[in-house]
Amino acid sequence: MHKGHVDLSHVTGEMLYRLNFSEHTHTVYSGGFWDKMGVPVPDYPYDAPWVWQVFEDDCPPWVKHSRTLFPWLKHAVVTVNKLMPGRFIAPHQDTLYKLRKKVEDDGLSIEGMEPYRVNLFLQDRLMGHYFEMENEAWIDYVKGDYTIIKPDCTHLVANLGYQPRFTMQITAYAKAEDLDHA
Amino acid sequence: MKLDIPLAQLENLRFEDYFQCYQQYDALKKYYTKHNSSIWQMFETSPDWVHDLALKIPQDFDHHVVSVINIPPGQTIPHHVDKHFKLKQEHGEGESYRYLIFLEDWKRGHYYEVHDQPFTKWRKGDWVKFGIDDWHIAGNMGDAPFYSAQVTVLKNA
Repeated sequence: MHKGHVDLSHVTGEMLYRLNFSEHTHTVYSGGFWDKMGVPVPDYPYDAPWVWQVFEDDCPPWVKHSRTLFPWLKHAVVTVNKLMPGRFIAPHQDTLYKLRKKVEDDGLSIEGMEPYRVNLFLQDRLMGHYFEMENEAWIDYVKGDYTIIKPDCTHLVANLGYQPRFTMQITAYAKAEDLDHA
Repeated sequence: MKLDIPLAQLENLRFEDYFQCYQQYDALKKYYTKHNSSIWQMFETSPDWVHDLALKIPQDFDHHVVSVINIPPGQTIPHHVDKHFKLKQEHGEGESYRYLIFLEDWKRGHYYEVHDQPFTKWRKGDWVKFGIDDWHIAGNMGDAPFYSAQVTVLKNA
């Protein structure tokens, strides 16, 4: 698992709690992951696989500005996820739909680049907060830590604690060699 | 400990007790309901191989009880402590501990945490010993049942 760190000391708990989440997404189908794996959709309880999200234009300036922490990313779009206690996003692979649509709609050049997602932790890990990718868990992250998720990487997140879990996703194109310096 | 329990043996367990886990403080009650924090558990009626697990742990106790738990996908046992009430009610006071024994190698989305220390990547037969003041969590965000056994032991004072 690729691990890095950026300074997020300016991000306070109040800034996170003041975020206005515009979408509440049910993730049981995991973006077609189960179909792709050829297995039935798990019988998850209806209430569990939900995530609150706020996308790009609806994000406050401090969120949009965060993409400058990763200058090697091109055409970046940002999202913040809030996972409430008892909720999770089941195993899935990112489709990166919004990024691909932006590139197509705006006719952006992506020559020599691949799509990636930076998963940026906005809090120190709290009790019951969980991130797992390709069967490897990251269980001691701190605020500002990030990992890079490639489109074919299976991952899941969960909140089995009692406090909300906030992360930022910065999805963009980059050259593979730029990841070496990330 | 060495375990040789085929998956079919776990899948053939006849659980009859499906219940909502209790929430031990108010912050949990808001988020954990019968829908997302219910589990299957079997106690005295567990098959012999479960009872025999008590022979594979350190023999420094006077009394014990066993159980098997199946956490279905999407379910969580929220933050809690075990007081071993039933064991002490039957056998008197003393020092008690619980051995959590993993019955399969770790699978994607299976999770256990004690004292804010998460566990993953366990192997079949790995066990964790913890006491009545050790807060812990377990959950299953994967797509396969999460089977574990519990041997709760009491050493009379």
